[in-house]
Amino acid sequence: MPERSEVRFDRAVLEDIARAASTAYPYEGCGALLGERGHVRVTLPLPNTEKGSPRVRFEVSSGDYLRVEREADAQGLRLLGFWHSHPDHPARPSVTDRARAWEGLLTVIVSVQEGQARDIGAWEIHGRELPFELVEIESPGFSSALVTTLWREGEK
Amino acid sequence: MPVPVRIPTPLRRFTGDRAEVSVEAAEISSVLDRLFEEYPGLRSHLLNEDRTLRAFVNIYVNDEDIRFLDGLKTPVGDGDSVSIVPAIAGGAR
Repeated sequence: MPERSEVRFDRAVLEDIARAASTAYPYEGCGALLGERGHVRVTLPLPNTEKGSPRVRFEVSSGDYLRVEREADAQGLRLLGFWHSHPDHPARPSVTDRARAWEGLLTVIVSVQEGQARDIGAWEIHGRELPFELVEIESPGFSSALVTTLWREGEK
Repeated sequence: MPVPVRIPTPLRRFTGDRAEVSVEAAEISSVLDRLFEEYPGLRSHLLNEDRTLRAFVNIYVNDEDIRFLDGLKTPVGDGDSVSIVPAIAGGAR
């Protein structure tokens, strides 16, 4: 049984994600995750360009994708993946999330309940036909139960 | 003239982590063939068995999506650049 992967998030990144995801409510918010392998240092919030159902779907435009990837390259960082929010839905991947996942990019999901970011989870795939694998999120002072407290502190 | 091709992060594991490679080709179809000769792992991530572009993969010549040009037959030439872009999407439902 392989060891479960871990990804470290700087605390400021978690706070930035929570703020952007809460602001996007009741629509899905999204953003890019930049850093080094296994360590997210920066998030860049992105517009959700989904036209049909932005409360339950998100889309990143090709132009925004290229912009953040070039930004990562220019800063000597790596595009590690993308986060998006699930308004009034759990921080768990949907069938759509799995179908649209890219191997080599983290899928990070934030649950936003009544406008407040409540929970976060990270997943990755290791093969097109394989299921998502949970990635442990490491962050100073972070634990799943502490997320709400941490994020509420960040909004003060 | 060589055409620069931008490789997206999730596919750089097939190009030795190179973000850009250059190939000699006159249309997108031959750009891809040159890429696959050098980096065979890319093929199944870009094309279906019937040699159509896979869903959720976009290829741009400069700022134009080839699906709105001539698809894989889109010509490329001096001064053009090609970008391979994964379509990022998902959501609660």
